[in-house]
Formats: sequence, C-alpha cells, structure tokens
Amino acid sequence: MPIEIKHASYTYFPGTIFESLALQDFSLQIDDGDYVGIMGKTGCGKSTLIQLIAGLMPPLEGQIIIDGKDINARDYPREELRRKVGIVFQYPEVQLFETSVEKDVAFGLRHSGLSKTTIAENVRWAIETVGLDFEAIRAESPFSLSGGEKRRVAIAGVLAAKPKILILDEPIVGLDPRGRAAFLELTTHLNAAGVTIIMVSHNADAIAENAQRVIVLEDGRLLINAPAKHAFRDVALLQEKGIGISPAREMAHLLSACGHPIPQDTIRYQELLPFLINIGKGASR
Amino acid sequence: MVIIEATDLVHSYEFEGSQNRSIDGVTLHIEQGEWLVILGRNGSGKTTFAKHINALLPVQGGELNVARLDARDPANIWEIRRHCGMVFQDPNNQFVSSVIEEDIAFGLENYDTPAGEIPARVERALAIVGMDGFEKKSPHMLSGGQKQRIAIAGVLAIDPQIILFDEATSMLDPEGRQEVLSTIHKLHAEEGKTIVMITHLVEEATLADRVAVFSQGKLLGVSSPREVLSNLDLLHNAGLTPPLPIRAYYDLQKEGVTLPCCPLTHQELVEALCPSK
Ligand SMILES: Nc1ncnc2c1ncn2[C@@H]1O[C@H](COP(=O)(O)OP(=O)(O)OP(=O)(O)O)[C@@H](O)[C@H]1O
Ligand SMILES: Nc1ncnc2c1ncn2[C@@H]1O[C@H](COP(=O)(O)OP(=O)(O)O)[C@@H](O)[C@H]1O
Ligand SMILES: [Mg+2]
Ligand SMILES: [Mg+2]
Repeated sequence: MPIEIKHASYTYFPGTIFESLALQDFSLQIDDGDYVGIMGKTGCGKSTLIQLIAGLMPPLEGQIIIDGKDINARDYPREELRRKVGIVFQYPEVQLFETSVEKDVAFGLRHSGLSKTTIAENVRWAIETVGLDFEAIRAESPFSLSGGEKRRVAIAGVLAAKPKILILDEPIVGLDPRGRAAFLELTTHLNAAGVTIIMVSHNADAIAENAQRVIVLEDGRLLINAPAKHAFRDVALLQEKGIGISPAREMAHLLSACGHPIPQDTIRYQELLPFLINIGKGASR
Repeated sequence: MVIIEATDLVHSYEFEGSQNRSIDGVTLHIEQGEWLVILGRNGSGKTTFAKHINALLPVQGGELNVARLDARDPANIWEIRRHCGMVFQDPNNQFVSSVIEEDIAFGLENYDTPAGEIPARVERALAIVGMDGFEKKSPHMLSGGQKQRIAIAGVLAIDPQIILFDEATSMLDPEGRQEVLSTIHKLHAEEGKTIVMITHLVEEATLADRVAVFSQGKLLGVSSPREVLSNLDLLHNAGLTPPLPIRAYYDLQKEGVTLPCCPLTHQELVEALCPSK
C-alpha cells in the first residue's frame, strides 16, 4: 500500500501576518516496506509533511493517497488510517499524562476493539520492545522517569497498536547511545517484518546506517530523493545546504581528498572499514 | 581553583525509603574556567547532578559547594543561582515573553537587577552570543539554534560564572548545533566561564577539558577526552559507544594496523592514515 503525495501544499495561517509557507507543490511516492529517512534544516517542512501523511491535517492543495484512496476524501474511513499509521511526534513525552506507565501505553488502544488480553499483551510487548523492564516500570508514574525513559514510554504507546506505517519525528533525540542503537535496530526489525518506516532525523549517521531511501527538503520543496547510497554523494552540496553527512561518508570524502579514492556511495561504517584497513596497511609498510 | 566541589553527594527522589538513589555518592571537583562534559546513559543521574549545582534540588546527603557557597544552606540558594545558570534541551519552552529583550530583561528583574542597568546587560549578552540586532524580535520566529543562543543570552545577562547545558544542542539541526557549540567555545575561551555540558553525542565530548562518565548515580570515571573516549571498558560499562575515529583505531588494531596514537577526530584519523600530508 504505497503512499502517494500529489502536488501537496501547506501554509500556516494563510492570509495573516503570520503566514508561513511550509510545503510547496510537493510530490513523492513511498513504497510499501520502504525505510525512508527525511532530513533538512529546521523549518524546511519535515514535520508538516509527516503530519499530512498521517492525516492529521489536510493539505491546502493536492492530495495524500494511501492504498489508492484519498485520505482526506469525505467518505474515507478515518479509523482505517488510525489503525494503519502510527506517528511518534517530536518530543512525544510531553503527551504522557496517565498515572502509570502501563496505562499510558495502553491509552491509544482503548477504542481499538481489541480484547483486554490482547491489549495487555501488546502493551507488555511494546514496553519490552523499547528496552524497558516491564515489571519494574509498569506501575511507575511517567513523570518520575528521566528524559530518555519518558521517550521510550511514549514510543511504546505508538508501537502498541502495531501500525503498518510507522512515522517517527526525531525519535532518537535524548536517547543514550545504546538506547539509540537499540531503537534503530528495532526500526530495522519492524521494517524487515514489513512495516514502512518514515524517520525524520538530523542524525545523518542514523539515517545512513538504516534508511534505504533518503529525502532532503529545502524550503518546503524536495532537494534530494534518492537511494541512501546516492543521497550523500555530493558532500559540498550538503555542506552548503547545512545538511548532515554520515561520519563514514565524511571520512571517505576526507581520505579521497588526500589521495586515497573511496567510492562515493560509502556511507556506512562497515563499508568504510575495509578501505581504512587497506590504507592503514599501505601506510605502515 | 575549585568552583564546584561535590563530595559524596547523595540524592533520592523518594525521600523515605531511599533505596533508589539517583545520585549515589558522587565526588567531583570542577575547576574554575573548566569545560566539563558529562556522559552517561538515560537515568544515570546527569540532570539530577546538574540540578544540584544550580540549587534546583536540595542537598540530601554529602557536601556541595558552588562558587564557595555551601549548597546545604537554604539561605544561599538565590546567590548560587546567580552564579550558575542552566540552559535546557528544548529550544521552544525557554521563553516567557514574545519580545527577546523583554524576555532577557524579565530574568534580570527576577534577580533584582537595578532597572537602569538592564538595557546595557541585555545588549551585551546578545552581542556575546552573536544575536545583537534581534532585541525587538520574537523568539518564536527564530531557528532552533538561534533560540538556544537567545536562551544562553538570558542566562549570560545575569553574569553567572558557571553555565550548565543539559542536552542543549540535541534538538538542533547541524548548523544550529554548530552555532551553539561555537558560542559555548567562546564563553569558555573568551569569557572564562565554567561550562558543564550534558550530552548524548559522544563526539561532542572531544571539545571538553575533561569528561565525567556517570552510571547508575555513580561517577565511573573523569579524565581527559582522549583517555575517556579511548577506554573501551569504561565506555562499555557506561553504555556508551565510541565515535568513528576511535572505533576505527581499535578495528584497525585487530587487523594488525597500529596507528601512532588514538585519534579523537576525523581530522586526526586522516592525519594518522596519510602521514605524508
Ligand atoms: N522528578 C523525579 N521524580 C522521581 N524520580 C526521578 C525524577 N527525575 C528523575 N528521576 C529518576 O532519577 C534517576 C536519574 O534521573 P536523571 O533525570 O538525573 O537522569 P539523566 O542522566 O539526566 O537521564 P537522561 O539522559 O535520560 O536525561 C532516574 O532513575 C529517574 O527515573
Ligand atoms: N504550528 C505552526 N504554526 C505556524 N507555523 C508553523 C507551525 N508549524 C510549522 N510552522 C512553520 O512552517 C514551516 C515548516 O515547519 P516544520 O514543518 O515544523 O519544519 P521542520 O519539521 O522541518 O523543522 C516553518 O516555517 C515553520 O515556522
Ligand atoms: Mg520538525
Ligand atoms: Mg537528563
């Protein structure tokens, strides 16, 4: 069930002095089971784009089509969209409000029609999946947790519904390095199980190591839409535009500049390492 | 000279049955003018420690002196906060006014700054963070990096000796992050401020004079960035992962390639691999 965005535009507060154009004539297709990384400077329209995909607001012009249906058509079944698409907002922890972690994670399932036991199973699965100890944390108040722990609880609340499309807005900010790695591994597992992942992040390393396709926005328009391998080719362009470059690609670029050519599609650490070993062996000889 | 002196500091959010210690016997002395980075996994006690330095949390056990003031004495709280400002992670929730100069002035008024001094202080603070000319603008119209620099100016106007940054770059795009890191560098190098910076980006620790590693409320180690970041056991025990150059150094070693020294930055790794350059 592909997602098709057709000529979508969005403006906040049109016709007022606060008017702000967030997306302009924007078109994009996201295939089933894809893992898309979205990058771009603050204010370029990333959050607006994913809110449109999640059907949280309609575009002012254009259409969002999921599985062949316009999700903003009057007769479109909204419950279907809520079941299919899960979205983890930027700073999701601000929405925690229940008295216990378990209740908070279960909150989104209250109108799901699932049985009590299924809900309880999903909740336990989701809390464990985000790397928390279910028994130790289930009765805790979400407000007594550290920043990173809150983030995990908030993500568990979205996972519990087992969506087919999972949209993540800056999900790894505030997670510690191991939590980051564990969370990203979780996204690749979900992706391997068929879930479409759409992840917004400034962390080029996280995008390069995990995404299959990379989309870069600039001022509400598409700047780059390419397989991840190719998206980081033009280092000078990315630097000029203030877009992050994966550490492995940056290293490859620096070494190429001093006489050790490394292919431009080297974006992951494991791809870079053999080149480093070769260069190192040459240097020590 | 030591400006922050924590000795055997203990804190539990549950005051009665204090089996869960968020800070569990931390002894850490921070020098005036030092740039200290704190690393550690989620829930390891970093923010709790920082909130003690800022007198946002009362000392329950152990000792803490900040700018030669005893933090155990409630009479010192406001004086300590005057010496020590804190910048938080969220660029959006740090402002009370929709006009930048008013927002900064508001903070000054809280510290009973004479009204006549306020404009000059606001101007100077904005100049230091490179945001002069933005006095009449709204903080809400700015990019994330600019907002964080305004938040820093708000703290600077009070002229503290110590500035705490709790994941203050984490929500920014690469440019915004660079803006804020350069600002911190300037505060440290030119203004002589003592900087305590909490981050989850291990590569940011390379900027510091010293790096403290927290784990389960305890201080696992504190040393130079090179010593801490090249200590794989320490990093592993604290749930941290080394940045690319250090990871590469050890992976190369396994392949029989030993670089002359452990590189901290990309540039150092390039120099180690291309010695002729
Ligand atoms: N307001 C609170 N009430 C009760 N317990 C708390 C509170 N704030 C933090 N804790 C607990 O204290 C411990 C340390 O929390 P702290 O916020 O200092 O961690 P941190 O190192 O800053 O983590 P993070 O990297 O996630 O921000 C954690 O176990 C946390 O659950
Ligand atoms: N709720 C809002 N009200 C008014 N303007 C907004 C709102 N959200 C975003 N904008 C504006 O829309 C543009 C795109 O913002 P956003 O989609 O949040 O970008 P990003 O997520 O890439 O940082 C920016 O100019 C921003 O200021
Ligand atoms: Mg956003
Ligand atoms: Mg914290």
